[in-house]
Amino acid sequence: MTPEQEQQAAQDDLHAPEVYRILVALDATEDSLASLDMATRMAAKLRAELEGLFVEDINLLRMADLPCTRVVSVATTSGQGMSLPSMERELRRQARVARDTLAMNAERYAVRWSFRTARGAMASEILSAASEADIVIVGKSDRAYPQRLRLGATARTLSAHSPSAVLIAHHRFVTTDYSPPGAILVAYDDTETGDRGLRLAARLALSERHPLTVLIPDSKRAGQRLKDSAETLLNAFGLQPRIRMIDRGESSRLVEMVHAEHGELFVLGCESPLLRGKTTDKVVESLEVPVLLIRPSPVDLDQAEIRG
Amino acid sequence: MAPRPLSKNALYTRCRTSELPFRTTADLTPHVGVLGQERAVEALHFGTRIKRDGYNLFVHGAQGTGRHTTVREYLERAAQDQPVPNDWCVLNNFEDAQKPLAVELPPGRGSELREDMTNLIEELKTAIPAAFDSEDYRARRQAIDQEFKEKQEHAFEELAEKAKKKSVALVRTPVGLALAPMKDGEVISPEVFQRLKVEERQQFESEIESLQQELQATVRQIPEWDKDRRNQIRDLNRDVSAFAVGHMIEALKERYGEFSRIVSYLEAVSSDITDNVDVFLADHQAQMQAQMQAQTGQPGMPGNPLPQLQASMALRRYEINLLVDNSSNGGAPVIYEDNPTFANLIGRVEHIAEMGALVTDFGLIRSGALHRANGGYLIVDAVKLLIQPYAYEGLKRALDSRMVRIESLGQALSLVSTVSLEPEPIPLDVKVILTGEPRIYYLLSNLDPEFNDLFKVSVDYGGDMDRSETGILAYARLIAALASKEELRAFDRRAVARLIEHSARISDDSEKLSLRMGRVTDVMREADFWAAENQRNVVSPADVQQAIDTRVRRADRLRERSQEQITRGTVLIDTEGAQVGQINGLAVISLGEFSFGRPGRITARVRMGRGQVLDIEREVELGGPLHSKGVLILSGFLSARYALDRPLSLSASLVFEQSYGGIDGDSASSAELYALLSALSGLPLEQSLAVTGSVNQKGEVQAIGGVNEKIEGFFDICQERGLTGNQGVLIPASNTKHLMLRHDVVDACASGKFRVFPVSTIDEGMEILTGRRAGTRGKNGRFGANTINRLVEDRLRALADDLREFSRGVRENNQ
Repeated sequence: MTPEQEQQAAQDDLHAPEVYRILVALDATEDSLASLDMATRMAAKLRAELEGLFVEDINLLRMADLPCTRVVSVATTSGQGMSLPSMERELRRQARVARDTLAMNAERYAVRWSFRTARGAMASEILSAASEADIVIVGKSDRAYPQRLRLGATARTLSAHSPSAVLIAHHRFVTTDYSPPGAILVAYDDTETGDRGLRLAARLALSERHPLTVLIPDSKRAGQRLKDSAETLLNAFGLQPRIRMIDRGESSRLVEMVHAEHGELFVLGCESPLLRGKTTDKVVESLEVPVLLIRPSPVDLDQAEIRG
Repeated sequence: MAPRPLSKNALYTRCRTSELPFRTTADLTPHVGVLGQERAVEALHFGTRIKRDGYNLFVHGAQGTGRHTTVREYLERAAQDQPVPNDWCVLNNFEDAQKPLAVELPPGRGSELREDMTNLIEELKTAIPAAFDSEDYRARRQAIDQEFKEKQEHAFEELAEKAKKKSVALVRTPVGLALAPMKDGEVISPEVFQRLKVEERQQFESEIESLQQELQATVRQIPEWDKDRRNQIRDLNRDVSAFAVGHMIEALKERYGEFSRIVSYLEAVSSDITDNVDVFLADHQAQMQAQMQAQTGQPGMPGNPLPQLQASMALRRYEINLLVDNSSNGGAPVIYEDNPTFANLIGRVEHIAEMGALVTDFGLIRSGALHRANGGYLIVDAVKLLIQPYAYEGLKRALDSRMVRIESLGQALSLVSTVSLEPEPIPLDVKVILTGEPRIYYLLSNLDPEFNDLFKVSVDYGGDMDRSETGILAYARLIAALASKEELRAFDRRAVARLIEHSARISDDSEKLSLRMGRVTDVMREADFWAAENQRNVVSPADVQQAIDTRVRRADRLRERSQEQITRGTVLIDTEGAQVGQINGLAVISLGEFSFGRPGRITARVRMGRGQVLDIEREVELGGPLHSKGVLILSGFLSARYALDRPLSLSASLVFEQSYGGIDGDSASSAELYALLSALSGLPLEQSLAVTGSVNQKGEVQAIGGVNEKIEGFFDICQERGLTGNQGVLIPASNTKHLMLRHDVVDACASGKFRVFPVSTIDEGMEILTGRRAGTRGKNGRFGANTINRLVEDRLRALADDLREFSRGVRENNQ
């Protein structure tokens, strides 16, 4: 294959619609709303369909049905009991709000969308729905304390067992919407998840002219080859990526390095050598930027350990 | 002895070319300034120079005298040597936005300040977002937010830890923070809870109750922490924005250091910007979004325009509203307000529709003519001013208080009480010049007590000037000036002579020249047109005559119609023969600037009565007061002349035949008297003659107006029927100097085909009309036999005798 043919093939490959459907899990938490915004913009960029899933958390309903449960309003500081009907009502109201917000966002970005509600354990319901999506977007935290820098049970389950890519959204402390598009960081390596991650990152960068930074593990054997390969692929689409070679010492400080880049999104393959033995959960938990985890080929759901 | 007909020279006073020592108007030095209005110019000079309250001017004179043009030209010349007044700026009042500030600056500095402030805001639109987008700011802001969040999270985590030890979970729910029993790290189900021992359940309830109180105490602290966070952010924002704004404001303060109010304003701007940096950030954000949309090629993506709109509206508060800009003026302003409404004079506050409501701010304050004329002159047409509601009142109030206070009519009249702007009033130093007709001036002077205090200088423009030798030459130079100004062809001296003659005709006086230059200029423009049509480079007298004739032609359809009614016999007018008690009177009909004479038959009938002369026109309310007065004078004349020793025992009726409109004026009173005397004496009156002139109780014939039109009106009828040489008009002798008759009339008179008799007394007139002597009283106290007066007196005596006989018979019958 000539270089020209390679470039054409790469372009065709990049333009192939890899992402048809994006699933966004919704509740009323701050991270959930952040994930809705991110999901809609991503669906617009990738011309994918957006599906909203509101899960009526069975644990909340159980809690409301307990006679001794007490709830304190943050707005009024008043304390009172809970009841199942009032919780159901509240969840229905939140579902309506979530649907309306989704509809408004989707209309604004001209995205095809659908919405449904399900009742059950949060993680299992989303995991079940994830099988039909190419990317699942969930909030980083859940309802339990402590929350700070902690990966919620739902995000943890999905990062471990999702058959599709998982974007773990996280509301940032300072949101400057008027800032120019932030950089997209992507870890590129020899693995299948690394390759898919680079292509997806390239498509996202191309759609809104994000700067693109490619992190490549610097090894004697593969470092230069990966760099050449990434540049060839990305240059074909007019992207001028910043390539950053990560040596072994730096990779132990992956989290600090990503933060220093002030990226808007970090695309990370689950098989990336940059993880250096750390669990994906640990790295994602420490990161304060949204992370798009590229999962390897689908797992057998029957064997997955589902925590709810 | 009856007077002789007037000679040709008396009928028309020619302008001799020997009086015009030039070939064409191109040889003349055009007249500069105002001609023939020395009194008015003196008043104008005085009124514009005196700097005292109330010495405003009222320029009055007939329409077309050039009062407006000449006053404006005079003022513009005078204003050139006077200082340029200051600029006025309206600024936002940051302490009370409802009361904008008005600040004056030397001419030109107002527009500079406006530009400086616009540049400042444009620079800040970039500088402030840049400062807030800096790494340093973001880190400090993040640290504050993180501190707050961590404090909050830490408190909840501590409590969650404590609860966990007691097997209680702290969970966020849609309705708040919930405390629920848990087992093995999970909230227990209701079924499991029910299976617990009673003591265990009570233990949970007690623990949760206690934890709830702690949770409430923690939650109560959140608003306080948040307040601290907001305060820290506000201080941070102030520090950052003050740094970004400070040096720019300081540079402006130095630039405008001599103006203390501007320095104070700039300090207020600086303080306001640091308190409202969000406005600049929002504006920047909106611009960035628009830019991103353009770059990403997503034009169809609907954005919310509201924040950008709100941001740009909010930034308006730092703009300068340059109310009066005198930067391009070369002297004091001379403003003519063509539409002097209340708002156009004193300014107004405009509104714009925003979100379905009408809103306003200091930037929507608009200047009035008084603002623009401040320090100079304001010319206003009095009639236009008076017909605008409350405009005159508004002007007087501003002049009286020497301040211009911008407010709506609703506010001024206390009709509306909605909150609106109250701009700071601006001191007023202006000379107002009202222009109008004399009757407006005299009406205001009589009816408005304030008028004389505010308009002390009367500038009176006369309607004509003397036709002296120097006057004629000056008038020729004025014609040259008008020709030059209007870019007309030069007029040769015979054309100028014709114009001067026409000017005398316009003024209805052979010894005067009209100063209603509007009409003269119109003729000049049209003569120039005809000269072009006739392919002449210089306007000739024929062109002037053509202009005059075509003007008449365009206007005289009604005159032709009126004449046609007479020639076709619809309106009965005799121009030959003689009739008792019947005479041709003459009336003038005015149609705007065009007027023409029209003969009318007047008849008189007498019979025995109690000394009353019945004016039929008055009885049917078609006669005006002056006409009635003229008729009543007839009784006085008859009584004084003929009925000295016995009562006037006649009843006479006078009527204008075939008159269906109103009649006023006393110019027909001599004609009525002739008809009456004819009816009394039984002597027929010549119908080939027409009569005009008023009469007094002594029988003297007095001058009237429109003498030229009246003569020409009767001449046209006679000419239509054929001139016989017997036809003519009796005019008051005192009107002879007013004669400027048409050339065809003059020529007919010169060839003896028509006559104009100057009459001084009724007796002279009667002699011409009857061909008999009037007669005077002899030593015996009686008029001579067969004289007109003798016949009249005899008839009156007979009537008195008849009445006495009749009265005696009636008394005897009653007894």
